[in-house]
Amino acid sequence: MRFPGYMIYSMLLLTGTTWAEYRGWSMTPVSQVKNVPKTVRDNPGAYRSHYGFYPRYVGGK
Amino acid sequence: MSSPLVAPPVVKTQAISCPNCGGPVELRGFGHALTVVCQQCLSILDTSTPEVSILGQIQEAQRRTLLIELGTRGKIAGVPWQVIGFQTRGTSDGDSWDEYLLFNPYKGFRYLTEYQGHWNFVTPLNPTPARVAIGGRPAVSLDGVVFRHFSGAEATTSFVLGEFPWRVKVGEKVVADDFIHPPSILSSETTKDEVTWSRGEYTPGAEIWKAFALPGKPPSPRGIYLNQPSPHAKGSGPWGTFFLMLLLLVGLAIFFATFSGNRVVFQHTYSFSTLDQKNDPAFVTPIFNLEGRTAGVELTVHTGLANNWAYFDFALINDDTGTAYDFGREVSYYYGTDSDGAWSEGSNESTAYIPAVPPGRYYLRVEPEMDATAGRLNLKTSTHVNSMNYSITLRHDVPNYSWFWLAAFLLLIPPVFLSIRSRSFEVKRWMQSDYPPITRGSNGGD
Amino acid sequence: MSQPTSNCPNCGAPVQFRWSSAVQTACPFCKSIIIRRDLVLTNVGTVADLPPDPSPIQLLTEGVYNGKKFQVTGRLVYEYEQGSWNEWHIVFSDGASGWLSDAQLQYAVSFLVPGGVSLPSEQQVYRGQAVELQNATMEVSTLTVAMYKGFEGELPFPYYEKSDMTFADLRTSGRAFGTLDYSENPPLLFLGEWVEFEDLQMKNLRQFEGWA
Repeated sequence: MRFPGYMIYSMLLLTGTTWAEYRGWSMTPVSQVKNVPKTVRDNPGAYRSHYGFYPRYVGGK
Repeated sequence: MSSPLVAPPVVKTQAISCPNCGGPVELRGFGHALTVVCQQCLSILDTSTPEVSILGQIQEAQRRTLLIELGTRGKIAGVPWQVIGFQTRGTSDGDSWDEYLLFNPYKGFRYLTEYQGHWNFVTPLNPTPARVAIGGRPAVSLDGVVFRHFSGAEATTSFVLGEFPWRVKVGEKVVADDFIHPPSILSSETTKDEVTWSRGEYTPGAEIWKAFALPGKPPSPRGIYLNQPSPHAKGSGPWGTFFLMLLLLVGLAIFFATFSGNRVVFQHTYSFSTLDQKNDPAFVTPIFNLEGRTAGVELTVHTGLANNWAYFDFALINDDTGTAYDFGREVSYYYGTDSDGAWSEGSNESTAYIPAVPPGRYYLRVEPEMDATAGRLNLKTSTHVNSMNYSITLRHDVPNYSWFWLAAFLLLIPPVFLSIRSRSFEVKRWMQSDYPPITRGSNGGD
Repeated sequence: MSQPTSNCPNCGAPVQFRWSSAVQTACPFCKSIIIRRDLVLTNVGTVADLPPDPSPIQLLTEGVYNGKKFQVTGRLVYEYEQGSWNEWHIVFSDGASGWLSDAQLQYAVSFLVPGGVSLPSEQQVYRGQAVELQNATMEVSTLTVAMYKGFEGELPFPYYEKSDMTFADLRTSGRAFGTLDYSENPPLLFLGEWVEFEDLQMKNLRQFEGWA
């Protein structure tokens, strides 16, 4: 084996890929919002999208 | 056994007096030398006859400094050598190099050539290399190894010092051709009477300094020399490993594609009109189950849009934990024909990937949006109305193929980088040859 | 190998031929050139003293070529415009006779090829000419005009009083080496190969002051 460094590097890459794949990760994380109340089902319009900003629910009641 | 043949006594070194300046001239070559240049007065002396006659004179202004003084002894590959002669030769381009003549009374003569800090240990070659042609360029082969022609030029002797086993003359010309197979080089010298060959091996200056126990440091090499071995990738890089790993990666992708559930957990078709925007266009879907392990969810929205545009605001909300994933997707699709032919821009569907969604009971909140003014004009109400039909499909446990693409790209970087580096070394090497490569960025010389 | 002893026809000193097929030798005492035909010795002249010579090979040097042992029994010194070279006469343990040429410490071993091959004459030969031989075609690489400078030891044929002999070097790709010797008519062909000093494993070489 003439390039042991590359072999190690590529093994790490493949291991990392397998792990990321198994855990279902993505390179483009999607905004997560916590504590969305169940009232959103009755009043979907009140929900304010946090796509891109506001990591907390800031919509109306 | 009695024999009338008496072994001659040990051969002694000689010293003579220079007939011009009277200074001592040491003869280290045991009678091999036909010409000697006196170190003191630079007279060229004919030593082929016992009466040493003066053949000519070298101008003092031409005198050059030797990096290894005449008389210095050194050991190369276990064999002792002594420097007995020196000459400088050059081409009409202005390039000039130095040659140190090494002598061993049993092994014969060798040369150390030096050019801009690059050294070669050169041996006269008697077997004649065979001429071959490689890729349209001249080459020679010796013992099965092919040496490619690098350059040919007329070399003129400009300075001489010490002893030589041939009759030297300042201004002597030969046609010198070099054929390379780094780190070796085959050189031919052609005069009107004969062709002589020699074989050189590239030697780092440090080795020469060590062999001859010279003080200080050797001169730093400048540029790349003809047969200088490439310090980069042995061979062309780790391509073998790359293809093996790529195969493994593809296998992994196939594995994940096969064993991921990839189940459709929700699918519905809707219609939307900009008239709805006055009210509340947002709605929620019924609750559906995401079962099994934490995995990626893929949402695809497929529309019937043509030359139109829509935006969807999405939120995938876990009914039990209250965690929501917010994202949006734009769908725009335009097409037509112009003078160049048919064209299209965008797509009438869009996909989003939500990573690592834990299992549970989920619903989707959807809020579509369109540009009313781009829609049809309702003559009765004098307003524009834009509308569309669309369907949403949600799949659970979907593999994220972008990781494989990223891994493949990262795998590719080192061998490509090493190949470029090694290539650029070879391109630089061949730039000084008679065959300089035309660099266009994609392919160097070969 | 029988070693007949005779007496020098000039000074009467005992002269020994080490090699049974030797035809010419020199009397070590009076320096007469002696030619032997059967058991009759004839004095044909005087051999000149050889000038100081830098070859590491000397008479009685032993070596190995192609697995066979040889001993140096004689020497011919040639002189030409660019200097001189030695042709050492070597005799193998099976009696075979060959030549070890030593030119500026580059060595080649060659053997006389018995007649029968058609060779270009001295007027026909030119540099670059292709010469057809039994096994291969060789090219004339150099033409040299030389004369004898002297001899030493025992030689397989008589030669003396010859000057201005033409030699044609024959080369081909690889180690093969040949010589066309125009000192006789028809010319003599010698074929052999270039050898390295180390490969000859020579013993009983000369000593040089300052060199082990």
